[in-house]
Amino acid sequence: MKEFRIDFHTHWDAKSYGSSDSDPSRFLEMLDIHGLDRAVILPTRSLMDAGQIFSDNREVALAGQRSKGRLIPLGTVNLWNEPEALRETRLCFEELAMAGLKFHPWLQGASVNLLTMDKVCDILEEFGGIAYFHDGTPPFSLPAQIGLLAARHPNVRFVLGHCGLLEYWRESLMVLQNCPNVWGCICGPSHAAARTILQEGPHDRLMWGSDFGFGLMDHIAFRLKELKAWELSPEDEERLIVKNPSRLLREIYAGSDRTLSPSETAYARP
Amino acid sequence: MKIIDSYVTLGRERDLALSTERLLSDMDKVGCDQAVIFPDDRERAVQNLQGNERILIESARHADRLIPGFSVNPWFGEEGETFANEARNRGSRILLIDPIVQGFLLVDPLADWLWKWAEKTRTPVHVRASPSASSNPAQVWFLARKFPRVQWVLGGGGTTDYVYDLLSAVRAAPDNLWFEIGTMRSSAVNDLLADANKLRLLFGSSAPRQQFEFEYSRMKALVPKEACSDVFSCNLERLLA
Repeated sequence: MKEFRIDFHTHWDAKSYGSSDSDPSRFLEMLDIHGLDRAVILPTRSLMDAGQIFSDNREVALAGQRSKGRLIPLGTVNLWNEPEALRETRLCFEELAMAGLKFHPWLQGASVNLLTMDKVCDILEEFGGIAYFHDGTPPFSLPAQIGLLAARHPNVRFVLGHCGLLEYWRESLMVLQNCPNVWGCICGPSHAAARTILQEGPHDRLMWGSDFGFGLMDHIAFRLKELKAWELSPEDEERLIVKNPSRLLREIYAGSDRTLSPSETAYARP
Repeated sequence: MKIIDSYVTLGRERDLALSTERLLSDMDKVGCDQAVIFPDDRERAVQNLQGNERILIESARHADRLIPGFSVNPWFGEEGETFANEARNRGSRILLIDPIVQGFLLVDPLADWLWKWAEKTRTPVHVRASPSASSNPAQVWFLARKFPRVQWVLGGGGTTDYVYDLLSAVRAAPDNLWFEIGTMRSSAVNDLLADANKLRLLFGSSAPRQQFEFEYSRMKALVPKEACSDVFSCNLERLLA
């Protein structure tokens, strides 16, 4: 099966790219410029304003569909409104063909370990979706807090979207070493920290992401340059950008009995 | 243009390990003239005397290139004051404080004796203001107001998630507050440059945690040409004068 170069951490906010609604063309141009095939797109506006969750999830999903499989959409839900959160989680899979949910707990103002989160994780397990987190920031987004949740849900795949940023990368490494269902997207730790994570972390569960999406400032070029500072071997780079993220996406979509969207079809088992 | 790096750790272990030879070689690659060098994490926390001594020895070997910084953990109290005097009297130029490593809340009066010492000895204080709760940009801003005769450097820019606090601190910065802009996200640096007094900004690479050449070229691309000589050297020279 063909494997792709994947940016596993970007944000969708059409207005900040100067696009209208769910048109992905400018976003895809950025991927093309940098030789990337695919990107996981996370919501943006709805992480800051729960009132926009319903519309934002649909816009992100539509952008994924219009990208013909190049953009893999994730939604979000408001944990403080449990009935709505559980209903929207189901809709994210049943209607919107999302690959999972993204949480930015300090920005969204809800602890990772709220009881509602466990119920959301049960639904993620049912649909095989990933639980994707901003991590590296107290008091709601520390890697160990997410690891605690992951330990309660061993059949859900979790992603640490930053690997602890600058201050909590050691905590992120500890979680990655102890929780086989947690994956790390290296995006934000220092260069020396990234090298250590790559040496000591789980080789088959580390990925790369740019955090592109807040306007057109070129985070992708910046993060790709960082790869050189990490002094990666070509094999490690392949693992980080191609093999591991491709495998995670294949695992998400494997065995799905839903109607597959174009983005899903690209990863379904032959 | 003269380049002085305001924040390098010449460490012996872990992610801060960096030899003097490697540092000088990295500096040569980008034409960096001088660097302020500091002790590593263990030396900041519990081996102040040994760390400060090591940095003095290394900088003396390359006096034209390396400027010695030093660190004192406020928990040492009176004993710490002798460490501080020893370092300062032998030529160390700037005090480094790293609360997350040293284990104290930045604004705890526990450390007031050290700020008073810095005021008395006219020693600038560089504070690592990281995304931890024990040291952040807002706390540095309050200290700068509480001790207006001390020159404070807010290091690390609150990267990543205290950036709004940082911008707020910049907009209302007292004259004794300086900003080391290494490791900040490029988008945050752009916001900072829009609001900040360019005469208060300092380039710092955060080597070896960050690759020296990478940080230098990134900042060089962001800082407006007319502000480069101030940010890359003149401001630090004024601070240390």
